Amino acid sequence: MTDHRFQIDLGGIIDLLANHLYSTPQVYVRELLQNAIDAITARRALEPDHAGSITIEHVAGRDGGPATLLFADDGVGLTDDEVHQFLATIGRSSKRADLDALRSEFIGQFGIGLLSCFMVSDEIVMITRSARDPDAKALRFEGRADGTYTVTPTDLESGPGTQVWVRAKPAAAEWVEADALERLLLRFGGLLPVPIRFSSGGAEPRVLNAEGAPWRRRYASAEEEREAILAFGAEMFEVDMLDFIPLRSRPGEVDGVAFVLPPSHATVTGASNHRVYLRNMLLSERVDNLLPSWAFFVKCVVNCNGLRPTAGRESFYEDADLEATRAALGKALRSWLVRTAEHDPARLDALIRVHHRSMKALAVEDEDFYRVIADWLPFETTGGRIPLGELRSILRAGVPPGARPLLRFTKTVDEFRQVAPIATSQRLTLVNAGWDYDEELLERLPVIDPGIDVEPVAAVDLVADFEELDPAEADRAARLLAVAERTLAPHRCSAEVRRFLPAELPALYGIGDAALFRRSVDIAKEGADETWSALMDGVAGGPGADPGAATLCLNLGNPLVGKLTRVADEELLRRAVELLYVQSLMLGHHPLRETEMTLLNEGLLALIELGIDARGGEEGRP
Amino acid sequence: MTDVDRSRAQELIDRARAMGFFDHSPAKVALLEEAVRLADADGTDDDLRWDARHELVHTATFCGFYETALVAFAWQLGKCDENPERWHERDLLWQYKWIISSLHRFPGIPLERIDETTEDMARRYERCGLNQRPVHDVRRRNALFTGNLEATHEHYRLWKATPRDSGADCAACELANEFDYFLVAREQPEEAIELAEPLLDGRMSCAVVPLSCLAQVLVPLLRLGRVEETVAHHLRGIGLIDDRSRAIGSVGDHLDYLAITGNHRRGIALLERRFAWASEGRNLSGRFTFYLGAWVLLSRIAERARKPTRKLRLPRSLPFWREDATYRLDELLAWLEGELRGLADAFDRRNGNEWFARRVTAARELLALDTPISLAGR
Repeated sequence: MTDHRFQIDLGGIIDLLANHLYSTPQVYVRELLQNAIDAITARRALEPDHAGSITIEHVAGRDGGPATLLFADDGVGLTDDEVHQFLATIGRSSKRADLDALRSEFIGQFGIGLLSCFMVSDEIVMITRSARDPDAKALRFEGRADGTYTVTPTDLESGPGTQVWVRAKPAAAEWVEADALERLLLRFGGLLPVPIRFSSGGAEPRVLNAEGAPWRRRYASAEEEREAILAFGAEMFEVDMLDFIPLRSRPGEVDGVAFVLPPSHATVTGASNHRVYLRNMLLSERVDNLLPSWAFFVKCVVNCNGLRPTAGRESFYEDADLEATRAALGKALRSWLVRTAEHDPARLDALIRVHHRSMKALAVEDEDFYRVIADWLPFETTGGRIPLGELRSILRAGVPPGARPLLRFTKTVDEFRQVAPIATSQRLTLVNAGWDYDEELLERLPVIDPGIDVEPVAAVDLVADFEELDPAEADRAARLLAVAERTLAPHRCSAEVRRFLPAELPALYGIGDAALFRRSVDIAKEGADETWSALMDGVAGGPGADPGAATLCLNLGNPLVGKLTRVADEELLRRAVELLYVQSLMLGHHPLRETEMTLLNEGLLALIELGIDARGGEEGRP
Repeated sequence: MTDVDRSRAQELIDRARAMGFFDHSPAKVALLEEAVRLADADGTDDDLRWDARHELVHTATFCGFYETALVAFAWQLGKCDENPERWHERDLLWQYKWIISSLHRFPGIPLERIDETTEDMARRYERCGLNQRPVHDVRRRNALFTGNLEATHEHYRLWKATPRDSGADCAACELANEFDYFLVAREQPEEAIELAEPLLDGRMSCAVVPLSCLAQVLVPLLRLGRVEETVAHHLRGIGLIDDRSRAIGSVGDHLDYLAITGNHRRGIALLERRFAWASEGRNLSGRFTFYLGAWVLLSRIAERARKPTRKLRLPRSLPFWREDATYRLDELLAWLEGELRGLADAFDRRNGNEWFARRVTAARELLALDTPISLAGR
């Protein structure tokens, strides 16, 4: 007997559910579990002592054909009216926007869940019997992927509940195999508070989800708990985790754990994919917006009861609740870190050694946190990599009591490289703040430690700080300076003569950011055609482009440079300056431009020749 | 000494790689630039010089250091042409479209040069057996950014008519570009927003998308009266910016939004935090968009301020930087106007139109909008 009380076209909604809503067909398992758990919850409202269970049977297809699945629950079931209500409401909706409203009530969710099976099947049979009416007959719904369906009363005798038969379509066989199905059931339903019994090939059913969430269990000791939770993390993410942090938040009603990633995964920023359950059902393994952006040192497994999922149920709406949850979870992580700093510094030390970037990211945003954690944060210095606390004591020890220590840092890695040798020779401790967050943190150091001053330095500054010459010296060096200026001008470099340490260093090449970029352009242009050369000029020039300053600073304290001030031969002086220039470029590990290579090659030969003329020439005289 | 340079270069490349594929921080760029310099200083190992640059082009592009990427890429392309047996052209094509679609950002590059380079890209795609879809895409984007609407529509048509093949840009990026086209070239915000729905609701994303869409969509949504939707987009968009200085233009869009919605304190915090990206970076079109946003925000604040001055933490590198962090708003606005005029002139002179000058006018018109939204506690 066919019942057509309503003429309803299910084609639109089936197309939406089967082809457009979800990123993968495997969520049909989640949808069926969701329906079962909702039905059991509803039945408990009628019969508070009803325990409920979900049974899944896998029947392999004959001759290697597609398998058939039976999903059965002993939940509330549907009455005749409810079946038609579900058909009527869901038949009217074929837009994504309608789904949210449908999901929000039992019947609508039921319909979406059921019809999602069309992702893996062309034909669905459902038999349901309502618990609301002891005399209710069972109903049989048969739907096909083309949108046609029949509803008939049936004589099948069983208790209240719903059974869904799904025959896999060949293209979806992989989602319906016994092994795959068991994995999916455990993945989506592992936290459900109702037993999921699974059987395949006629074997005895097994309960898949006996254990529940590891962070909700009771343990005999802290070690046992640690071991169990870390084992869980290793299983979930296939990575041995360094540590774990319990998470709890009232906004969003969240409970779970954050796993601290090991060093091999420490520096990968970008989306951290968290595993998130919604009311104990797995929502997604790729939620990336649950934690504040600085928290990229952890991966979470959490359950949320109070957040709104998107229509596809694969992430959350970015709404005020999510924002509040994110803030609360951030606070939970932060207060764990602060507590650990107080009670278990060794544990924190191990964590920060691996995750200092994450800690620095938070410290930049949160001054109070910075204050607590500052001493642990490592910085690269001329004395190696040291924590800020140690650095502060080194600086303090270096000044007389009562005086304010000064922390000098370079803003870029390049500058550090240039300045480090000078700083070392002058016995200055210098910090490389070229890495992420370091500059911002150091600039703010006086805010959390008013007893210290900080100052950025660049090579150019250090040269400016070098000792000025007295008038007599300046007079003596004037000729050398003039020749050096003339010689270096074609290389876009100016010259200075100063006195600085170490005396062994005859000259120092200092270069700013813009000039450094200009050098890289020059080198790239050497192998480029006209078009690309023009492009690079266009990039390096343009309005507001800084031509950039490069300076060769000659050291009058160096004996060789001292001698040069007494050389009268301009040709010799020019060659010497050119070689000092090239040598200081190489000392700074700068690749040489072609013109500079020429200086090097010709200059060496010329100097040798000059040397031979000066000496060998005399000796060779008859 | 050369051996030291070489092994240090390799070490720096390894260190950069260990930071992860999705790390596009200035710190990683710095590592790789140093690696390139050392590999060049060593000069004996072309594989190393190539590898360092290959990493650098990728990281610098996503970090928004387009000029750095361009210079490194130019070297690679030169190597390819010098010895096509050893260096494969096909390996560079994916990056080529990034390079070309960044050229318009530099007003020092004439349009003919952009065209010539795009021709070269087209030839290379053809030679590698790929269709012209990405070429039409970059042509359209360059045409739109330089204010040539006629060409924009034509390249859109051609792009649409060419199917995706293995050389096509990532689907999320393509959709974001199409969104931009409907929003800016067609001035059809509703269609654009509907089109971008999979990006806006998070179904589609990639390394760069939907960061820019979430910012661009804010003011149009306000104008359409869809005020409630903007909050989530703004918050999510701000969250995605993180340490990507590439997003400096998007920061400008968020500043517009915070100005119009009366969230001035947040606006100032954002402005302070990102100012150096704009003023110190070489991405001039990004700088332009950021300064527009900064101008809108500070103008709105000045309209309503009781005092002529305001405390601001600005980068030290600015010519008018003050130790006491107190600035006169009128002076600051005048400085921004000067910068904007200079940039607009340079772009418009190159483009032969008034597209950028019109963008400045449009920013002034934004001040007519006033849609208070409370972001407190969000």
